[in-house]
Amino acid sequence: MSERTRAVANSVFCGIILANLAVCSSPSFERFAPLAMTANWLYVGAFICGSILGITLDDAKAIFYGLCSMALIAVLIFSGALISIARLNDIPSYDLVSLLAFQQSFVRFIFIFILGGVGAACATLLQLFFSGGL
Amino acid sequence: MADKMNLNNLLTAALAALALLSAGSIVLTTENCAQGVGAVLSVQLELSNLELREEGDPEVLVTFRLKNGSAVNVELETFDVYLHIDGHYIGTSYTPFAKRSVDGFEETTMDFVVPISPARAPFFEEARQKEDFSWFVRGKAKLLLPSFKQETWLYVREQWTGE
Repeated sequence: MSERTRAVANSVFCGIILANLAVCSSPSFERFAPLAMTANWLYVGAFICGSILGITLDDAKAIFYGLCSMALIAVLIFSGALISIARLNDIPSYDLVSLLAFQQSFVRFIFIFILGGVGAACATLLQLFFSGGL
Repeated sequence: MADKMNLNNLLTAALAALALLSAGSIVLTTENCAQGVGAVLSVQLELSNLELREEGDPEVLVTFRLKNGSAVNVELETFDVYLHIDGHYIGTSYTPFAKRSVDGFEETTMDFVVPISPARAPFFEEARQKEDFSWFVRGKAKLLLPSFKQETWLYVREQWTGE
């Protein structure tokens, strides 16, 4: 598998995993989720996914784009789920729901990106340390 | 180098498996949530009758109609009714049933007997001296959607004029 294919595949997979964590830990969804969890799990998940991107990708640029894609995919799926609930039930305040989805998604994007970045940095540093690069 | 490639492949495969499970979980959660929100929005509670009974101690029979407009079965766990006359509280009826199930697209009526306590009777008598007085009924119901273990509070406020 080429570096580029691996970067794309891992970002997409991490994005879907984080979207699930965002959905399961969101107050709007948690009571309906098969496995409800607290918001901390999203941050733990972001850190772990960031670390995996840091381990599997060698190029700093690929890691950066991977983190951006991962966070973007996660929040797009999350806000898509929120908006689809409003649409399926003909909730009249559709604009308000969209705004709420955007706000919640924006906060999650920032957290996922920062914690993912910290995870990737930690993983890269550890790899350098063990390979004798530091 | 080969070890690193093996580790990378292993991690990618593990991520793929987790992503598959996560996708299933997202779809399930969104479907459950859409159904649950729909069920809560489609439940309608309305006051259908209010009748004064004066044999023995005075009491008021309050009848509510519950319409379940969704396909999901709902269950009423509690339903408390508070009765006021001309702005004065005169009595309460606390959930006279254990649990009440209402199947999808069905409606049911529920009767509540609100006894007028002797301490509140003067307000009741005073209001009845007037030609025109009003009843005010406040209901608080706890709704359960069994398949999601979801609980929701429904509130109903209705005004009723005269006897």
